[in-house]
Amino acid sequence: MALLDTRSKDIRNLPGFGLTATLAVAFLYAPILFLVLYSFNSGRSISRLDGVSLRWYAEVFANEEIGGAALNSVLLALIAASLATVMATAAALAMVRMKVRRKAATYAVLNFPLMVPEIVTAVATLIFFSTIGIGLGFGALAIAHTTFCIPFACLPIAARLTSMDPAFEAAAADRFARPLTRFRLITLPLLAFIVSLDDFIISSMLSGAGSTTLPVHIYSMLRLGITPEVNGVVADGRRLRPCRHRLRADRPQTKLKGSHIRALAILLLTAAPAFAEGDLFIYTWGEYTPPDLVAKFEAEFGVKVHIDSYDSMKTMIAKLRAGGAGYDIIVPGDATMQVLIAEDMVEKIDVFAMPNFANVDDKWREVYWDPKREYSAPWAWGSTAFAVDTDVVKGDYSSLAVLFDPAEEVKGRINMLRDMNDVINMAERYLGVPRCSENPDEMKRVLELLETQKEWVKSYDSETKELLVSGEAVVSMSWNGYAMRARDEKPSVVYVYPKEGYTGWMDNVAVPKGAPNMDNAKAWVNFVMAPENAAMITNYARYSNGIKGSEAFIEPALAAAPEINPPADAPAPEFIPTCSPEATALIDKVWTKLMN
Amino acid sequence: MKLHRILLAPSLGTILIFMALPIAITALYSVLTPAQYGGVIWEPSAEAYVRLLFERDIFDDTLAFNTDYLQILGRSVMQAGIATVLCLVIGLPTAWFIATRPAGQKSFWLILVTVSYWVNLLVRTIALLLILRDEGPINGALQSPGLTDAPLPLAYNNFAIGLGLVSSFLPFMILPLYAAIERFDFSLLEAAYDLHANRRKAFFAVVLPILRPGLIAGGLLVFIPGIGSYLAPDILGGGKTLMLGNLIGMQFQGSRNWLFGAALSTILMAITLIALFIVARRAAREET
Repeated sequence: MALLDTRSKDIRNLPGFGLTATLAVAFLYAPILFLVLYSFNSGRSISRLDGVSLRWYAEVFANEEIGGAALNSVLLALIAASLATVMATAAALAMVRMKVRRKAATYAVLNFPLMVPEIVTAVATLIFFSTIGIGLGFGALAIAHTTFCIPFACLPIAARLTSMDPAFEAAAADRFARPLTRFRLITLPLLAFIVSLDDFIISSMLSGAGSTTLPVHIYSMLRLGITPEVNGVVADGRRLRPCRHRLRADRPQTKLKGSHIRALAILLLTAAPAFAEGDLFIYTWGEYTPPDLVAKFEAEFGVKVHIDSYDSMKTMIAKLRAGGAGYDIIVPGDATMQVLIAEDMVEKIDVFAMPNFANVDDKWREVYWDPKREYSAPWAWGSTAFAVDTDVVKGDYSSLAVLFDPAEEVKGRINMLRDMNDVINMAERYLGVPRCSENPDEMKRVLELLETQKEWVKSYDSETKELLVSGEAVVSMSWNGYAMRARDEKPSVVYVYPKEGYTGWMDNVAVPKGAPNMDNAKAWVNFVMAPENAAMITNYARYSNGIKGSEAFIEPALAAAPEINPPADAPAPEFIPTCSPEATALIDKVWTKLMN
Repeated sequence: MKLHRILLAPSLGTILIFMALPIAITALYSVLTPAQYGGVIWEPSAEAYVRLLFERDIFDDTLAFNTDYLQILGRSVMQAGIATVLCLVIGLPTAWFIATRPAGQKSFWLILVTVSYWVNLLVRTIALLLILRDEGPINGALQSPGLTDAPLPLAYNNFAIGLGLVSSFLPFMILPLYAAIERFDFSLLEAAYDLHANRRKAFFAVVLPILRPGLIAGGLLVFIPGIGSYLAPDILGGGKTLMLGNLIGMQFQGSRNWLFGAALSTILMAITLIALFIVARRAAREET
């Protein structure tokens, strides 16, 4: 008997299992702890602790865009989890006393959302809503989230109900209400809430005006890396800051108290008339709109400004195309603007006749994408070339050869933008192939060049500033405004105007078709063409604006920056219109092959 | 009976209308003809599926076999498969260990595993990237005492993607396995010892078969989201390799080829259903 006992104990304690469990938990927590630790770092480095500080938290809480996104996330999760839990409880109650066969079928349907990959749910729901003509936005998001939360709410409830023999129910409840049981009962319905908060893909595809969720906002910040700088304070932690906030934002759900719920309920009730008169819904790049500009506009016009962010022009077009996203203002680049006008997706608002149009610089009045400026006003313009870390890259770096025929010390430390057009345009310049080539042989050479280069490329990432500053990349394709931010933190970073040429671009303010607040939208368009307002854009986003007289309001260090003032011998920036369908197909093909 | 219907209607209706119907529409979409500017023409066409396997020459319209998309598909299945196996290898001992602890410790471990999952996936993925990078703490720890002179390439590759998948989905493997082990009757083992089984034999002959439902549930919960995963390849892969989820996302956000995206989604759904079907059939066979 004694022998049996020790042996049976043995199998409970198999060698190495405890170690594996410890390592597994350590593996799950290491990244999280790392983030939390560095969120208290006073410096902006993520590889060196400088001191303890709460500055990042202060900055996060001061950031309205992040606050709005967090509120959306929590509100959405609350609605989805509540609806799902109510429905799931009803279903579970019904199922307990069902016949076996019917119960199995019901189970299968209830668990179906669990078995569908998230991306399929996202895509299918997007197609569904645009087919039946329901606009994207908070409503669509709430429906989608509720649906995929049902099984998460249902499973624990059903498990709890079925595991109890009705006869023993009362007695068991008294005697066996162990901590574990309580844990399961309290925690698992929370699962639906967390699952909703966690979702990125579905939210990203279905969000509309005023409904950006926190994960979507963080992602768009990641992709863009434009830092929110309050009062021109150069500060960063780009990758980290939103995440830190995220960690904080995650906490309250675990101890949601009555007061929180009341506050949220009030918000929920007041959130309904969001489309009332005094609103302006802006859809733009994340952290591209100066908070002081927004505050000034709100004060002057008595209008509440809501900002949602996208991570690429394409996401924006996809949203508009899917219909009914409910935005008043969009900020498309030059080529995109041309497409939007051609496809009749923007309102003709006669910008040229607006009072402040007199301030627009002559060179931005007759532009290829909007020849008479009937649809759009200038927002900011810049260039796409590359930046090098001169501590590592020695010698002549004036040519694209730095990227395509790299020196030994550069190999494996190159970052390219994650944008097929920008990357392919750059390769075309290096090879002397024209932009938008429709010649398959030429594009084949482009592909070969890029495939050879891929061996030496560390990443295709749009977050060039962070990569350059941390030293992950020593050469990186970059926008000029980004390179400037990188230089602020690492003086050895130099933005290069390559002799083979580089791309120029302009972002424009336009009004999408069917904008709900047309008057406010027009007021905004006129507003941003005033010199002191345009200067705010430059001071915040670090790109030139196209407005005469704004120079007087721009910070002196910025006005003299080499990233904004190309040297006299630099080639002129090349503005590239949309390519033909044939050329676009080739570009698509080259990119897909390159990414394989 | 009537009451049951009323109770069931909201949840079943929601799932059927907002989940099953959209998926059916997506499948239908995938066999329609694409229109010039991103819309559809209501005529049947296999164009989207042809594109998956063949490349249409832009000049003479001939078809040539093209493995680009198949490779992406294969890579996704393989990455998800590897991640599933790794989760199993790590998750089984972990779940076993947790389930055999005394009650108090048990809840502690369970809470540890569950709470990690409460932290947003996007945040966890970014955090993992920061740790794995050249300038991250791992390479720092290896380099400063001179163990390695150049940083190990841990980030921006398939290894990082795999690690990301494992860390994303490990709790999904541990929890169902834990539930199965907790229900396990340890007196069965004593019976096995009575019959002179050794520890190893007892584990494989007695324990594993009983754990099978937990293994299957855990495997599916890792494999299915893994195959369509979007964030891990996107962030940890440095945008250098595509997986099926990214390819589908691209069709809707970038290339604007909804029909091709619909076809890819349909294929992903089909793979999922096949996996489920195989599992269900094996389970049914074992029961009889």
